[in-house]
Amino acid sequence: MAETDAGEPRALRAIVTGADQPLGAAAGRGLRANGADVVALDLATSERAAGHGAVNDAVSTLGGLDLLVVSGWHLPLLQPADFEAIDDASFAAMWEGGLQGMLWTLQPSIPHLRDAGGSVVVVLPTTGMTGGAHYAPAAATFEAQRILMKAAARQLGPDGIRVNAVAVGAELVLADAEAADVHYLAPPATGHQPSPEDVVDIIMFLVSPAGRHLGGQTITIDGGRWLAP
Amino acid sequence: MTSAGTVPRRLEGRTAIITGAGQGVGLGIARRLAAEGANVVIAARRAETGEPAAAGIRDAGGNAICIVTDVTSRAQIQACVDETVATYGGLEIMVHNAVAGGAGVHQLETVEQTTWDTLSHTAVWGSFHCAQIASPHLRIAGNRGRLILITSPSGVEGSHTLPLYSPVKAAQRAMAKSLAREWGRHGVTVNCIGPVAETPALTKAFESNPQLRGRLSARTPLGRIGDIEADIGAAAAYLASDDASYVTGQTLIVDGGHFMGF
Repeated sequence: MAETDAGEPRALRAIVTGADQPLGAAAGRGLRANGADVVALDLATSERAAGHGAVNDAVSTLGGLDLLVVSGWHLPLLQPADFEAIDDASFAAMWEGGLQGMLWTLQPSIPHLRDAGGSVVVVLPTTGMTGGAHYAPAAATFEAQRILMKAAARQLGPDGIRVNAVAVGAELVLADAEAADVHYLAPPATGHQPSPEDVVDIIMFLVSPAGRHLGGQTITIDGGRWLAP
Repeated sequence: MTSAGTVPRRLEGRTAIITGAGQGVGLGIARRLAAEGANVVIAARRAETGEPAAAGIRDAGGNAICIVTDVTSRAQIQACVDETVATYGGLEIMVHNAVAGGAGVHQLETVEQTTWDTLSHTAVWGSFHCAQIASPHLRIAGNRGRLILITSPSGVEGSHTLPLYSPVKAAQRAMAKSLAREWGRHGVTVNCIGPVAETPALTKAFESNPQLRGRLSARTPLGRIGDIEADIGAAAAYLASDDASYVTGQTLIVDGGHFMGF
């Protein structure tokens, strides 16, 4: 729930990208269940004009913007590949798609988020932090999205825009998490594996008054497997 | 400059390519690897900087050639690697240092497509192509095979002034971790260096803003700005040598203690 200028409660106005994929779809459903107005973006391109156009249309529909959820431009359940076998087209789809997809939806959102005192939440797997054999382009993309999140938090924070990330377990995004060879990932400390739906509670926390001191942070909800630092 | 004779000769008989080695950090790395006995290929975009860099190393008693290479071109990286292997008989050490577009302060709200494209093509596509094309030669080199990517402390902590520079530097760290896992069974190591050193760009900034040197030094626990050869070159030579054969997937931050991660 957000507030109008007069202090009246009103529905949170949210854009969710990657809405055709499990994480984005779950985030969109969960936010609606929490009373938010949601426009789900499923862009077929990561081009600047397309991102700007889609965000501007969504903001018109919503009447403003309180929350941008960036949840990737990757295909559901990424397949592993030997590094030497990756061609330029596949690398471009992952890398340019992921980063430009994020950048060109974030950019047109900034003035609206500034007006509303809004938030950006990036949802990604822990793979960028751990690295992953047979997943180098994906790991590079997710870690770059995470550090772009930090840079955005630094640059936009003084304008009242909160920018943070939620990291989920690799098995929610990688088709073969075993192939990534991250041997030190012990069983989850909590004894259970979160599902895509679990990102929603964290997003609601980040946009709530309780989240006001978090900037540039990555909240990892993999059940307590990747424990760094 | 480290004087010859005071450095170990850990890289005799090995061959290294260093991209962006016409000046700055790349040149410091090239000089030190050559001083330790490596055959060095200066892969520079411009012969005007690359040829004098190679000549300087030869004058100091090292082995070096310049191969003009634009790292945004897969074909030119392939040609550079092919010529290196034809000249020296192999390739043990690939250092991707070149980056363009990292110097200009920009705002996320207004940054243009070209800023992204320049950073992405030099830092990330350059890393992808250098790693892929060097891969068969590094595998032949086995436990002497090294891929070193030059990143930045801002690739860990995010940059307020250069918001698009920090993610491309982060991508290199994650690529290094991934390849370290994937290539470990061949004995090949993959690491990053995050340097802060006095490059020509920084010297120019000091000239136009004389207080900047003191301000930067004061924020650094070791109280000075790094030297491209004695500080950054030495870190690269360590990672390239047998002394670091059990170190992989790491980012070595060489910045006088300015940034301290975990």
